[in-house]
Amino acid sequence: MIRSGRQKVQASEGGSRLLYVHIARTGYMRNTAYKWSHMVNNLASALFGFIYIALWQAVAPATTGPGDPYNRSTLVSIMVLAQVFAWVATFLPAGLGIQNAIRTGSIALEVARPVPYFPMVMAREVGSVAYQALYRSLPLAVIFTLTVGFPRPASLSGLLLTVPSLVLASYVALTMVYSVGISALWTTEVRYAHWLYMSVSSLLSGGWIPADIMPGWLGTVAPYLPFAATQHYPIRIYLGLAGAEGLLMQALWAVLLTVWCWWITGRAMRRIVVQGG
Amino acid sequence: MALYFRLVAASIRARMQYKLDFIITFVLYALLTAVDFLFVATVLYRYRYIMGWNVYEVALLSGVASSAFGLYRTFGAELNSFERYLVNGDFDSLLIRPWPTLATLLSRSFDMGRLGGVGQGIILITVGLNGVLDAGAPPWLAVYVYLLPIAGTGVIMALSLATATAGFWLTRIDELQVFAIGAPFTASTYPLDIFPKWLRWLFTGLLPVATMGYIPLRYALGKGGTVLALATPFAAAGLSLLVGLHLWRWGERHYQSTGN
Repeated sequence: MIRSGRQKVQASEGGSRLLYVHIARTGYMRNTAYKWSHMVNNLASALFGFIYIALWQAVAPATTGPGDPYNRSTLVSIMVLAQVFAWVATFLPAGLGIQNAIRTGSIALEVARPVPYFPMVMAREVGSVAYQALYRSLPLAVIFTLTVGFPRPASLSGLLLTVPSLVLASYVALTMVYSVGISALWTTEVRYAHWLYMSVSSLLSGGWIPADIMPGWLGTVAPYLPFAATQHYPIRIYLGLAGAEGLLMQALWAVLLTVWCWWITGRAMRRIVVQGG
Repeated sequence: MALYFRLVAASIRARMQYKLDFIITFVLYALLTAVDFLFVATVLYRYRYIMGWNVYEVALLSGVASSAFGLYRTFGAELNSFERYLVNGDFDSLLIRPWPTLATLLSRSFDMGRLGGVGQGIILITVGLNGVLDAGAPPWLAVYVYLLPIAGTGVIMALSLATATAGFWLTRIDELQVFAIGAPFTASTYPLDIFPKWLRWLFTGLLPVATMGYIPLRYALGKGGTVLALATPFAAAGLSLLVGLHLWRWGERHYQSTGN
């Protein structure tokens, strides 16, 4: 179906679905080439986790008053989960590589394919995220289980809700990084935009600092920003600090960012200037 | 050495042909490293102290680390992206030059924009210094603390040399750099007291980033240690650079080109 070209792919909805599955699979396979290199990075990621765990253990009280869930043990659990979840919802490739396609000119071939550009990139990255879940999040979860212990979910319903929450978290993060990547059609270079995105998103995601304990107005606003959809809500749902309302907030951002990505892609396609190739 | 400085000057002149790019990178780096400090500032806003260290004292630690890391990224830009040389086989072209490979490599490019991180670090040090001097820290700290980033750059450069040496066998070292440079840099922005024993050993011995700021500042701020602590950053920088250079020379002899 895939090799037979534009007409056959467009012939049925089922064909398109198969095509997206194939694209996702190639996204997954592309990553497997660097498996051992990624294993070394897992050690670094675990080391970062131990640093943040030590920090919160040093400052947070063992018990807190009513209405304040952030005691030492909860904050350590948050750090472990943040480090594990980050590989599916925070640490994504800069601009999803779109800027490279623009620089080399291969974007011309990509937009000429018989599938819309935005879902095609998303499908490819879903494959990458699946790889990261398996070869990055999972080994990290094992390392933390063997060292500081992996937090238990608050309830079975919390655990079940965490699955769609993580899917939404990953999707929201992908749309934000996609926006950074597609901006290369205007700016050519996304290095600075990526740095800015990574810094702001790490600070406001709620992974390494719960979004609602940020100082002043930032603490009030942060849980409603799209960054919180990537870490704050999945972690809170897993730990039983939030329920379906967290999922709703993530779904809202997923819808808004999807509409934004379709719109911006439409605008971008009219601007393509091939740089090379 | 004269040749090195001539190449430095040529590289700086080349970079400064793109003034706007330099200004944007400089400002962005300063902002991004400031965001890093916002993280620890938020923790301090809520809890006031990290193991007895207040916001001014932690600002000194963060400032020293940021400045040292900024200097390393400015002058060691090519060493930091050494994986490219190994993967593409570009190291071959350094071997045929009549100068030491490391000098040629280091003089190839200077990432001037990274000085934004140095600037932000200096601001942090100045703000922190103001606070600790008001609280009764010794006046000599006002000069001494600005020397620490120089020694710190030596320590980070040595870690980078060791990582690059590993590349002569492993080829891919970007991920190893996160372990050997990225994580220790983050750790150096916090007081070492917060870490369990094995991490304290790691950041004092194998990856000696605690010598950059924590050990001398602990003594200067009256939190412990002996007067020898003041010499530690410079001794650690000298020693680790010596080890790093030996490792580099040893690794270089085992280089096998990937072809280009």
